[in-house]
This record gives sequence, C-alpha cells and structure tokens, in this order.
Amino acid sequence: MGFSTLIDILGSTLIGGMLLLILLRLNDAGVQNNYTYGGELIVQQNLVDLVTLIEHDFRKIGYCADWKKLPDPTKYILEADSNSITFLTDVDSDGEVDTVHYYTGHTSELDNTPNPRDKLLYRVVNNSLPRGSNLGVTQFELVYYDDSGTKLLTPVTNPTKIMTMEINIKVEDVYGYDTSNPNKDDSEMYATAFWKQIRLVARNLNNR
Amino acid sequence: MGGKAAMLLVLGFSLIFLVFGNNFNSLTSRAVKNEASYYNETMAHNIAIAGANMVANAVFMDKAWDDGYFKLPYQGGILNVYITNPSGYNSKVTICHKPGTRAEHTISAPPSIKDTLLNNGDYLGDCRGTSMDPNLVLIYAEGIFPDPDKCPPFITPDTSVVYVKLQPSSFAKYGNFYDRMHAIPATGDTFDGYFHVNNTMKTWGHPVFLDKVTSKGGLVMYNTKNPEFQKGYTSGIDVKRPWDTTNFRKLGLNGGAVIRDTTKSGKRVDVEMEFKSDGTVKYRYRIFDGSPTWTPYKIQPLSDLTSNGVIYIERGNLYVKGTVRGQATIVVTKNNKSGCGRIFQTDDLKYNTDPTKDPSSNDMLGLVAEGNIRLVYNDDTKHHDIITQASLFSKNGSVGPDNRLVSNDGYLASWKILGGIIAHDVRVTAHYNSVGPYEGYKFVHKFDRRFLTRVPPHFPHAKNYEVVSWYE
Repeated sequence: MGFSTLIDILGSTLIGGMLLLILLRLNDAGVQNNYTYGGELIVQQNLVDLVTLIEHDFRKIGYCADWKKLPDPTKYILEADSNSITFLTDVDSDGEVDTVHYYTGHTSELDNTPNPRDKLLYRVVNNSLPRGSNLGVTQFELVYYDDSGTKLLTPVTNPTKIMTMEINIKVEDVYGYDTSNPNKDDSEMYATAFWKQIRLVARNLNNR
Repeated sequence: MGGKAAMLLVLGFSLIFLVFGNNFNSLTSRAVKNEASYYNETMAHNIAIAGANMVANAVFMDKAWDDGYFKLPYQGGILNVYITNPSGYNSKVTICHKPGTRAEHTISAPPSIKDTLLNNGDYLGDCRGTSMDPNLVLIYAEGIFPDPDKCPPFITPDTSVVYVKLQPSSFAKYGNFYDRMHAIPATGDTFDGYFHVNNTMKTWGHPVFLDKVTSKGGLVMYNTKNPEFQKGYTSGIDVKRPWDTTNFRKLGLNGGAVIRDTTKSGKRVDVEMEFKSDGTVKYRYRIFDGSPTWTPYKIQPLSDLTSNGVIYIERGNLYVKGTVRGQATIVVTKNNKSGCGRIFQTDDLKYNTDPTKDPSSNDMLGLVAEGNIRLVYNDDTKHHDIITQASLFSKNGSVGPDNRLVSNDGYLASWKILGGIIAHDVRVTAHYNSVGPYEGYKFVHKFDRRFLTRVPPHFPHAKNYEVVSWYE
C-alpha cells in the first residue's frame, strides 16, 4: 500500500465523513422543517375553520327566521366581555330563538399539551353541555364599540350600546417541534397564525 | 468502483431531496388550497353582500323597484339578486330556488329566466311548507366566485347567499317623533321607545332616553350637557312624514268605515265615539250644514263597523273615549277646512286587555289627526289622572292637554300614555317651578313594545322600507 493509497483512504474518509455529517444535519433540518411547516399548515387550517364558524355565528347575531320573535334590535347581545360573549340568534334557521355563548376555558384544562398558552374555545348553544375542541386557540379577544366608535370598557355593563366589534384570534400549534427539550425557549417553537376582524357589524343589530 | 459509489451517492441524495421536496410541496399546496378556499368563500360572500346592498338601496330610492340582477359579472364572480316586491313594476313567477339545500328559498324571478332556473333543479311555486309574506320585500342575493364560465374545470366555484326582509317603516314604532321641538327634553324627563326629531336635537341637563335616539340635525346640549342616551344617538337621519289621505279614504270605502258629509258639499262633521269593553262602538255624528244636530246613537261591533280596522272621518273632528276591544285606526282629516282635523279625548281611553300585563293582548288603537290631538277639559278629565292607550299621530299639530288642563285649576295629575306620540311639535303638559311640575299633568309615558312588530291597522308609515331581517 503506497502513500497515494493512504492519501486516497484518508481523503475518502474525510469526504465521506463530511457527507455523513451533512446527511445527519440534513436529516435533522428536514425533520424540523417538515414538522414546523406541517404545524403551520395545521395552524392555518384550524384558524380558517375557526374563523369560518365565528363569522357564520357572529354575522347572525340577532337573526331569526321568524323576525317577529326578536322585536327589539338593541337587545340581541346579552353579555359581552373581553373573551366571552352571549347573544341571541337562530342557529338552524328554524324560526326559534337560540342563545349562543362563546368563551375560552383556562389554560390548565390543557395541561397535557406542551403549549402552555393553548385553551379551549367553547361554543354553547342554549343549555347544551359546554364542548370545545383544541384548535390551539391562545387568544380570543373581543373589543366592543358604540355608535360613535368609542371603545366600551369590558365587561360591557350595557350591551345595548354595542354597535360594532373587533375580533382578535391567535392560534398556535399545540405540539411545537422539540418542545420537550428543556434547554430551549418553548415560546419560539410554536407555529402561530393570527386573524383580526377590524369591525364586525352584525346587520341585525340596531337595524331599525 | 469509485464512479459507481459516486453515482449511488448522487442518486441517494437526489431521492432524499425528492422525498423532502415532495413533502414540502404538498404542505405548500395544501396551505395555498386552504387559503384559496377561504378567499373564494369570502369573495362569494362579499359579492352576495354587495348585491343585497345594491338592491336594498335601489328599493330605498324607488320603493317599486323590482328588476333584480341575473348573471351580473362582479369582482371576478357572478351576482344574482332576486327581489320580491309587493308593489313592484314587473310581473314575476314564484319559484322554489335550490330545493333541498340549505340555501332553499322561495323567490320571484322574471319569466325570462324561468327556464334557466328550472333546468338547474328549481321548481315552480313556493318551497314546501313556506309561503311569502305579501307585506314584505324579500331580497335573495347570490354571490358566485370565481365566475363559473371563466374558471378552470378543476375549480368548483363557491356560492354564498344573503337574504333580506324589508317592511314599510311604521311610525308606530316610535315612542316619540317630532318634526321640531319647542320644548326641550330636560332633567327629570324619561323617554321610552325610539325617539326621533326631524330637526336639531336639543337637551337640557340630564334627560334619560331609554331607547335609540336619532335626529336630522346635530345635538345641542344646554346646562350640564349630560343627556343619557342608553341605546345611542345618531344624527343625520331624515324621516319624512308623507300624508296621503287618498289611501285612507280608499281603505275606508273598501272594508273600513267612512264618516263624512253625506251631502258631499264638504261640510264639517263631528263624531262622538265611545269604545265599549264588549267590543262594540257607540257613536253618533253631526254635520255642520246650518242646523247641526246629533244623529241618534248607534251601537255596533267594532269588527262590523270596520273589517279592515280603518275608520275614516273626512273634514271632521273626533271626540273619543272608552275601552277598546279589537283593533282600529281612526283617521281624521282637515282637507283644507278650518276647524277640522282634530281629535279630542274626553275621558280615559284604554285597552280591554292591558298589554303591559298581558303582552299577547290584541287590542290596538291608532289615532291619526291632520291637526291637534287634545285632552279635553271636562268633569271627567280635570283634576283626574288620565289614561291614554294608543299610538297618537298628529300630522301638522301637537299632542297634549287643553290649555285649561295645563294649569288644571292648580291641580297636578298624571297623564299615563301607553303608546307613541308622533307629532309636528311638542306641547307642554304642565307648569313648572324649580322643583318640577306643580300644576297640569305629569307626563308618564311608556312605549307599547308590541308596536315594534305589530301596529294598529294601516297606521301611517314612512315612504321607505326598513330592514327587519338580514341573513348572511
């Protein structure tokens, strides 16, 4: 075995080692990116589903197929706080007035997920049992305005003054990448999506 | 050997990159699909909203407008709006649109597009179990995005539907409505029901308005400048009060009652009317034809006197009291004859079933005068609390007590009104000192909340429609 052969072996070992390192790093980066992008997709889908439902419900505040059952258009919102609202509507357009209550649960209800901020968003129709699915909601904030555009303090003591509202929703991935690693800052690990309705005007609210 | 290894390495890495790339591409395309789906839904919805607004505005400008839109290109999509208008210009066919879907609705469509709709699964007539309210304008707006004729075949356009119900805006929905206000709402005054002024809104101190307040002009505040608008205040709203006696006369002649100078020489007619709790009306009248004498009293059921609820008194005055069982709107016109067009309440005027105790009460009364509506000074009114349960409409005058009742011989009584006051101007009901009213009538007004959805028969309404229900 000559000197040149030795150089070949050393060189190939070096190049092979470098390729192996690249491969390992590539694998690591690929898995992380795959996880992160997958998480972002899930977050985006969750947000769209959530927003679609909220838009569907909130646009119908004060709607009833039999409009005479909701005679006073100022009394459709029963309770309004920064992260909860109760209003009258007709969920299934059957002409019967329903009460819908949106509110967020406490983060302690979801201790089994790595994300420390996620909480359940509950949607309760009439007197049904509160149910919520974990879509990764970390912020559900409602801001209310009166007819002159003045922000109302929450909880709103007189909901009849509400003319428009702002809705802020933040959804995060409930399982971020490598979240069990205690040496990392968990807050940077979760894919996040935010949606804001600057002014939602429920058409039936104060419509006449 | 070395060349093969290199090839295997390249192929291996390529395979890994392809797998990762495919995965990332899949994630990206799903994200874009998700976003595009939401975008399409939102665009379709916005197109439908725009269509509903366009048509609602057209009906607001011309209450008989009923053209609608069909396949109107709009914002990259298509807009269809079908409108059912009872007073519309065009003949339409009734069609059940999109039967069996969540968007199923009965619509009115021009005959020219009937076949197109029927070919898409619609059928003629009302949808099963439904019927259209003949008093409402119905708007069905359909937004489709993207335009089906222009989008690629692998994209399914989204459809969004908005339907809106409009009805004539009745003046009975107001607790207080004035064209102008010579008396200013002040500290101690509480107003129930919608409040509107076709002029500048003026307040003194801290009056309380329990319902929404609107005015044509701005808000001018005096004294402590602290009015309490519990359901908000909006300026810039002009609500005209049309006065069409032709329609009332027509209603009176077709199912209602008409009392007027039978000699057709336009003489003044005075009518005395007492409502009885058994549902009858006792009345008599006199024509001022030189030797005015009262006719004998006549008693008949209210429903026999007027089947559509309208009692029309032409060029006359009405003296009214009693307990109303049933529904009626009494219209008293002046028709340019002086000394006519007034309504005088001579004693309590109330419902047989008090709606404040039983909201299902069907007793309703509307008093509509071209001139003033007055509480008369007599033995039944002076020094007594008086009840008025009706919606009171005075076209050119005001609603209030007779001058002598404003002082009431130094007595202070209560005038309890359940209903609304719709008048040209405000009238004082008492004399005040620094403490408050000390003689006359304390004004105790409560709005009859039934009038938000049901009103006395053919009670005057505004020229335009108002939205009563909006589904989107």
